[in-house]
Amino acid sequence: MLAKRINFGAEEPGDPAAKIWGRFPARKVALVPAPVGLQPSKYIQGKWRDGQFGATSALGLQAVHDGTELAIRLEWECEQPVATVIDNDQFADAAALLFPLSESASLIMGAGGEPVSIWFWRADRPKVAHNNVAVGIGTSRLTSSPLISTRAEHTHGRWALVFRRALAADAKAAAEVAPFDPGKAYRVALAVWRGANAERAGLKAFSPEWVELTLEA
Amino acid sequence: MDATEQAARIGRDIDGQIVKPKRQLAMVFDLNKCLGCHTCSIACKTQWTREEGMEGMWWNVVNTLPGEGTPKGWEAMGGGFEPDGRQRPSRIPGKEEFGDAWQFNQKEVLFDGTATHLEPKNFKGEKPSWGPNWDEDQGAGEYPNSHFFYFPRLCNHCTHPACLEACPRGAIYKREQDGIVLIDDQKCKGYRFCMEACPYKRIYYNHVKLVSQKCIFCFPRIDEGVAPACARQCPGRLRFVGYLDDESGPIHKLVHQWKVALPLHEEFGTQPNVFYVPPLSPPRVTATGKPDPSKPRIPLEYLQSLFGPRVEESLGILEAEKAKKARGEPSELMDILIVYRWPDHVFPDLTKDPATL
Repeated sequence: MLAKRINFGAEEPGDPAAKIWGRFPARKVALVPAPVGLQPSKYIQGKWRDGQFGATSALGLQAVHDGTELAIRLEWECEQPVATVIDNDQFADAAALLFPLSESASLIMGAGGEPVSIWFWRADRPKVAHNNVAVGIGTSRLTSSPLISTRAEHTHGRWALVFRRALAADAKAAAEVAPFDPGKAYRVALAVWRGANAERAGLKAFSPEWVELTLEA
Repeated sequence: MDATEQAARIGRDIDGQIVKPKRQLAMVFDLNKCLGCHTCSIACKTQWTREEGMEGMWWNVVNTLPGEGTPKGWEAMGGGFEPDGRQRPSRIPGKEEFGDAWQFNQKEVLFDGTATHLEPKNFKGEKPSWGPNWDEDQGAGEYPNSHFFYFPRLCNHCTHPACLEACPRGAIYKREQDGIVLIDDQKCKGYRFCMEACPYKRIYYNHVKLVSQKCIFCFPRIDEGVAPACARQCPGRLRFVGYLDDESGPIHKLVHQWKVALPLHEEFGTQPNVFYVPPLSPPRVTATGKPDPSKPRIPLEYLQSLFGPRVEESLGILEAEKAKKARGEPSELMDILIVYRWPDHVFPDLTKDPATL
């Protein structure tokens, strides 16, 4: 899909309800439950073997950039939103974008020597996504940069969420942060967690194929 | 396999074999001596769980049994392993079941004058209906056969920890040198599968740091030759600490030689390393008011539900050795349980005074 190049000055792409998002059609991305067999503990495999998780079947994906900043909007159905966690058995809704940091990195959390960068948003810390780098299942590690600001809204049984990040990445952080250049094509994978269903870690719905994302020159 | 990989295997079931540490530290609690003073819990709280987010944490807790325990009804929550090695599904206990730290209206009563009585509120802002020791001293049975005993509980630092096996991030590990089970809070992402899998429900969630936390067997003290705070502070001197393989130490003698110290709910399958000397009790009183020496006040079936079928034998040995001592005959077992010399006889390898560090 194409991330159109627009002038952010007059627009407010950080607002998931902004008019600008109505101008571009959303790409529907199919999601499937993460395979039980890939869950990295026997306890999780045993308890969730019947696959009662990852029921979010699709999300809408949109992206725009202005030459210096990238804005990516996700929208998905979630009838029972969870945005605050006060008890031990509560989990917040979450969503993530996963970008490969090497050519052959696996979309299933990367692999040794082939890391991926993950922008992870959780509804109980709504204004910022964490960048994680992972080299395989169970290895995600929070990095100190870059800043990924987020804004989310839940209306009419749906979450709408916008991630914003500077296109450029510090060269020193190349092992952890994907840089973006206008005119180039990138790949992204997506995941959604339903907090009301105690979904966390590998208990999620994810896109089993890369989605190509081209930044308009 | 390098040392790090080998360390990550300890406590795991690898092809049907549990990988064991070089040595295993363990505790034995003599329930006949526990007076329910909670000094152990306070020692632990003072040492480790004073920070924000830890208010409701009692890594060590002393419950009254028979009773619901902490968290409420934990014995029926599942977790641990089936006999065939599969992990038993469970759930995460809620704050109210643990008994969260209450808030009190001190400001209204003491400063504003808008209220006259102190009233607790739970984390939901409601009047609490449960607390960490809500049923303290309640026990069971009707007079004159009412009964209870105190029951200290903490992480069992299991040989096959269900928490360690459940964590999807390998954030929980068992130390090679002494088998202490620890959560690496740099690796923990607060997913709480450990809280589900632990059948003893001794893991808490820190809502400020967003990580799971539990008893650390006072490992920084252990590393300096100092006993865990709960054991060192225990006025009843009933908390023995030592290595299971030390044949001259009280742990080995009580667990393996005299076979009087038993694990709690062995059927949970995690091979706990905290053991209990079961409580003796006076005879039941019959309807005509006569003691019936054939029946202990604390029903044997109840103790069997906690400690398994070996508890009857354990109680028999304790009675026999107690009788020997009463007759003026020597009894090594009674001498161990009496703890003539503190701290040497209660945690012989960990006698250093923390004040000297």
